[in-house]
Amino acid sequence: MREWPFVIAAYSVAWIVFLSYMVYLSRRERRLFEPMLKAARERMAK
Amino acid sequence: MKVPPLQTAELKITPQWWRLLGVVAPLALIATQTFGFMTSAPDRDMGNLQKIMYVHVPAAWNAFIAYFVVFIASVRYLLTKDERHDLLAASAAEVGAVLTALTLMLGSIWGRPTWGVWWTWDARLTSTAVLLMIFVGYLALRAFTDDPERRARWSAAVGIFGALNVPIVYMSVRWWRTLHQVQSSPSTVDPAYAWGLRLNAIAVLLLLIYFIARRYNIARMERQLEHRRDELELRPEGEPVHA
Amino acid sequence: MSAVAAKDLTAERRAKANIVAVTSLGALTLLVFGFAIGPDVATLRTAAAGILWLSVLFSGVLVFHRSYQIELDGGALETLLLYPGERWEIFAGKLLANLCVVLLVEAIVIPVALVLYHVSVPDTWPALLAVIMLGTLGFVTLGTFYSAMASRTRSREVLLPLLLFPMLVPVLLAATEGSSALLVGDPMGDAGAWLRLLIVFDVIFLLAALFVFEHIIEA
Repeated sequence: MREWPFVIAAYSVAWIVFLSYMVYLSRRERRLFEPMLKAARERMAK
Repeated sequence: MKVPPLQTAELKITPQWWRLLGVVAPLALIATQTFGFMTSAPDRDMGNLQKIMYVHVPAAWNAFIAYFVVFIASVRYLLTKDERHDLLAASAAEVGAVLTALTLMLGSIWGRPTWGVWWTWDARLTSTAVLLMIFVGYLALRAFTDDPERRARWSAAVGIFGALNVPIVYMSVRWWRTLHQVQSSPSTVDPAYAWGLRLNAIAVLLLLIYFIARRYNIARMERQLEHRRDELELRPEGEPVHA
Repeated sequence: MSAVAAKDLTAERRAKANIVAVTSLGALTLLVFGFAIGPDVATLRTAAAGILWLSVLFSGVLVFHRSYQIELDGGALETLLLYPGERWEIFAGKLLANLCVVLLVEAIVIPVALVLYHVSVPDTWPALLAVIMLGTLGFVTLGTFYSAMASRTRSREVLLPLLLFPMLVPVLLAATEGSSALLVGDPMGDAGAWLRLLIVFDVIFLLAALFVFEHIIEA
């Protein structure tokens, strides 16, 4: 059936976009938390 | 100058109710998409391509909801000058731009097997393309304006103007299309598919709320760090910083 | 308000070279589009209205930049804001000045388009004039408003069109479709609807700009 590749493509694109945005949000959060986590680790190491 | 990192307490700068949605929304979406697949018989004209509508239409609707949030937040910013509204508007704009781009891509994927072309100058699709450009302009303005207060005021103005234009753009494009009618637009939804559409739209709405809330949280934290940095620069060296 | 307009116009008169340059660019755009479309008269006639308005758009944005450049160069904006009078009057003054300049440019560019694209002046020219005036008003209103912001950012040459052009879609559609119809005598009576759209658009954004301008000009 000629139609299914397009249906699959559509759903794939949608999920890829959603998951990518979620990854982007995580990365951006991590950049904020990094210095705090590092400081905590340093404190624990002392 | 070393800025003290955010304290743990500050991670909760906004209420964290939305974290749960990070799990609930994707699950809901999988459920509603499965429901859509199982309950929809192939359409008379479109066949199984109709199933694309279960992602394309909810994305479109939620993009407009995002823009509505931008509009309300922009108005509230100009009225109160509270930067939290500005940050909410910016977050909604970013998520809205992503959803609008997705809507266009899905419209294209649907159009190719249906009409044989990757793009149709259909009224709704074309209006959505214009909406994407309005979102992009908004985000570009923010990117090129450094002063936060000016950025907030200008973004609010642009957000409001853009929102005012959305219905006008849609009307003018639709008029334009009826004058040059070449192909018919996608038919209005067959009632058999209505429930699948509604449920999927709600699931995407949950995802929209999650994305905007999380993005807003990040924006607040980043702004908090900026404030901290500014505060430090105003104090002489060596003085302790009060949280 | 008239003081602001007069001030801007005086500055523009001294910068006569600028108006000539903008008009030349408008005419040049018409020429270049002609090359792109090809010499077939029927095609040119059909495309004439659209190309004309695009030329106006592309050359018009240059006018808006100049309007704020004048203040920026001398740091005069702060002084201007100290004057008595409402902020919206500053906007109205700039709007008037820009309107005069753009209409002047159009007064030259439109006849050039008529000649290059083999279009004759129709009987319905009063309505056509109305479309041109209303379309220009919408264009200049939004252009004056957005350039108040874009002119003061880093990437002003790209930011102004990026912000402005999507907002002008209704004006572009209404002006080109209205003009096209009227150029052939408007057999289907479409122009009325487009004129109404232009009026609604102009009123909404003129009011919005007058209201919001105080927020975008420095406090």
